[in-house]
Amino acid sequence: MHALRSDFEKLIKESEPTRHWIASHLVEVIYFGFFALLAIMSSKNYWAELTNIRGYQLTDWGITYAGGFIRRGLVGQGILEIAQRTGMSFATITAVIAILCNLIFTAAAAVIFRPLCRNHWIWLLLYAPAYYVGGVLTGFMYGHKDVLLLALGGLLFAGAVQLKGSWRTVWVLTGLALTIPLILSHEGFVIYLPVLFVALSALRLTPMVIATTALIVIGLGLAMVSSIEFSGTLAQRDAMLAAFYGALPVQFSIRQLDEYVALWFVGQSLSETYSFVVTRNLDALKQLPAALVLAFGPLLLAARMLRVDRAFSDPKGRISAWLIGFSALLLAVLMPLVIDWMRFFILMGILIGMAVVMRLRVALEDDLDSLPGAHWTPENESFRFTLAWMLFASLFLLKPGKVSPDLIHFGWNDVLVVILIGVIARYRPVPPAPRSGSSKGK
Amino acid sequence: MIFHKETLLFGVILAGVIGAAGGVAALPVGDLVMANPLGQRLQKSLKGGRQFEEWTARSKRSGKNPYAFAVTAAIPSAGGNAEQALLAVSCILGQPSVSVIYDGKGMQFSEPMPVSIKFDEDLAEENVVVPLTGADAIGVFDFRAFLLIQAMQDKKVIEISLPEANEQWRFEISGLRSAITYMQDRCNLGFQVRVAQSEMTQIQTKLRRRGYDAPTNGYVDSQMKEVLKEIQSKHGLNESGLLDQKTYDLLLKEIGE
Repeated sequence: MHALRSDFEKLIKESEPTRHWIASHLVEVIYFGFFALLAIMSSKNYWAELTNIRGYQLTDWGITYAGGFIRRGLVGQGILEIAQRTGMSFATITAVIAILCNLIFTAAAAVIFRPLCRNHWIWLLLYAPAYYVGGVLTGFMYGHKDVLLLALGGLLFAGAVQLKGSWRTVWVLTGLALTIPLILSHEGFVIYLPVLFVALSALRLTPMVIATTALIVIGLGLAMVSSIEFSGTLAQRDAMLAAFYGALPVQFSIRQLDEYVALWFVGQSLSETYSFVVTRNLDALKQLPAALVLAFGPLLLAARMLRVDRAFSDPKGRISAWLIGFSALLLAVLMPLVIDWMRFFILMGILIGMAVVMRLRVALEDDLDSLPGAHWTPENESFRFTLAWMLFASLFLLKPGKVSPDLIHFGWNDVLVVILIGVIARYRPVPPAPRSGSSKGK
Repeated sequence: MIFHKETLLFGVILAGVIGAAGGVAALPVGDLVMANPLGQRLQKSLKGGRQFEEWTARSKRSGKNPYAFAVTAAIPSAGGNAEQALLAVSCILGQPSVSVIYDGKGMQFSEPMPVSIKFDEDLAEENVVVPLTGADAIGVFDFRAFLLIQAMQDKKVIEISLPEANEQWRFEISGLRSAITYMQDRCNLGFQVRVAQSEMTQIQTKLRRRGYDAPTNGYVDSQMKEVLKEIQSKHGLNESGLLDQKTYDLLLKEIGE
C-alpha cells in the first residue's frame, strides 16, 4: 500500500512540470492550435471549392491570355501553361497553388501576431468571426485569387518584423515589386496596395529605397493603365472559355454559360456591370451597418484599447495611417461596382490588422509588454474570461456572408448574442497604469 | 472497277432511303470525326464506356464530383445529310441536362434561344436551350431537361432544330432507358415524381392560391394528378394526368410564369 502510494506521488510529481507547462502556456497552445486548425480547415475548403465542377471560384482563375493580353490574366495564363504542358487538370493545379499560398499566409500571420498572442485585445483581430476564421465559417469564401494578396501581405509584414538590416530592405522591396504581377492577376487588388505599402515604414528611407519604390509605383501605374486599356472583348472571352474548359475534364464543360461564370463579365461595359450589381447592392444597404460593425468593429476597438496611436505618431506612422485611410476610401469608391462587399471587408480587415501589428512591433520594438492588455492581472481576469467566451460563442452565432445582399448571418440564436453582449457590457477592461517601475504594462 | 462504283452507289442510295425512313443506326460515338473541341473531349472521355444500343455511357458514382452521361451520335437527316453532332444526356452533380455538341461555325452563344424538338412521327414542340461553355454547344437543363429525358425514353428518333443557327439534327435514341439504368444517376431520371421536389412544391403552392386543390408536398401523387387532369381538360389536352412537357408549360402558364 505504501509502495503504491509512493508510486502515485512519484507519478504526480513527474507529470507536474508538464501540467504546469501547459497551464502556463495555455495561450500559446490555443494560439498555435488555432493556426494549425485554420491551416487544415482552410486547405480543405480551398480544395473543395476549386475542384468543384460547379464552383464559381475556379472560373475566377480562368481568365488567361488565350485571346491576347487582358486584365487580370497573368496567373491564369501561368496555370494554363502548366496544364497544357503536363496534361493535368486546371482545377487541380489551381487548388495546389491556392493551398500553398494559403499555408504561407497562415504561417506568416502566426509569425506576425506571435509576440502579442497573450494580449487579449489582439484576440479581437484573430478570433473574431470576420477575420481569420471568416473563411472557415463561410466555406465558399475560399477559392478566389484573394489568397495571392493575403500570402503577399503576410510575407511582406512578417519579413518586415522578423528580418533585420539589409535583409529586411531587400525582402520588403521585393515583396512590393511583386504587387505588379499581383495587379496583373487581379486589378481589383489595387484598393489594398496602400495598406501593403505600410511595410515601407519598417525601412530606413534611403535614396535607394525611395528610388526603388518610385520604380515600383511606376510599374504599378503601367499595370493599372494596361488593365484599364485591355479590359477584354467578347472574342477574347470566347477564346478564354475554350482554353479554360479545354484544360479541364469534360464533365466541367457540361454546364450552361451563365452569369455566375467569372469569364462572363469579360467584355462587359461598366454600365452593364453596374446595372447587374445595383439591385443587389441596394438590397444590401439595410445590412451594411451590421456588416461594417462585424468587419471593422473589432479592429477599431482593438486599435483604441491598444492605444495604437503611439505607433502612428511619428512621420512614418502618420504616413502609414494615411495609407490605411486611403485604402479604406478606395474600397468605398469600388463598392458600387462589385457585389462581394463582405469578402472585400474581410480582406481589408485582415490586411489592416497585420499592418497595425507590424507598426506596433516596429515602433515599440521590445516594448510590447507596455501595451494595454498585455499582462494578466486579477482585474483583467474576469474580463479575459468573458471576452474569450464571447469570441468563442460568436463563431457559432455570427457568420459573415460574402456578396450582396447576403452580408451577415445572425444564426438561429440571436437571443444568445444579445445576452452575451449584455454580459460583456458588465465588464470593463482595466486601464493601463502609468508607465513607471513595476506597474509597467498592466 | 465499274462493279465497285455501282456497289458504292447502291450503298449510298440504300443508306439514303433507310435514313429517310428513320431506320439508320448511328455511328459509334468514338468513330465520329468531330472538329468541335468539346465534342472531341467528350468522345475521348467515353473510351471504354458501356454501350447500350445507340448510346455510349460513362459514370462516376462515388467521390466528390459524381457524374454520369450517355452520348449518341447524329444520324443522317431526312435530306440525307449526315451531321457531325453528339447528343448527351447527363447528370452532373445532381443536375440533369440534355445537350447537343456539333460541328458548326464556331459560335459561342450567349443568350437562351428557341429550339424545336420532334419525336418519331409526333408534332414538333417548342422548348428553350441555353448556351454551354463552349462553341457550337447548347443544352436544356434542370426540370426541362428532366421532362425531356422522360419523353425521350420510349421514343426511337429525336429531331432537333435550332432555327437561329440554321441547324438541324436527328438522333436515334433507342436504348436510353438501359443507359440511364446503368448511369445510376443522382438526378432520378427514371423516377418522375421525386425530381425537383422543391420546384414542384412552389408550383403547387401557387396553384393552391389560384384555387386548385393541389397538394404541397412536391410529389405528383394522385391528388396532383387530378389537378393535372383538370388543367389538361381546361386546355383541351388529353386528360392523362401525366406531367409531360406540354402540361408543364401549362402549369407555368397557370401560375403566371
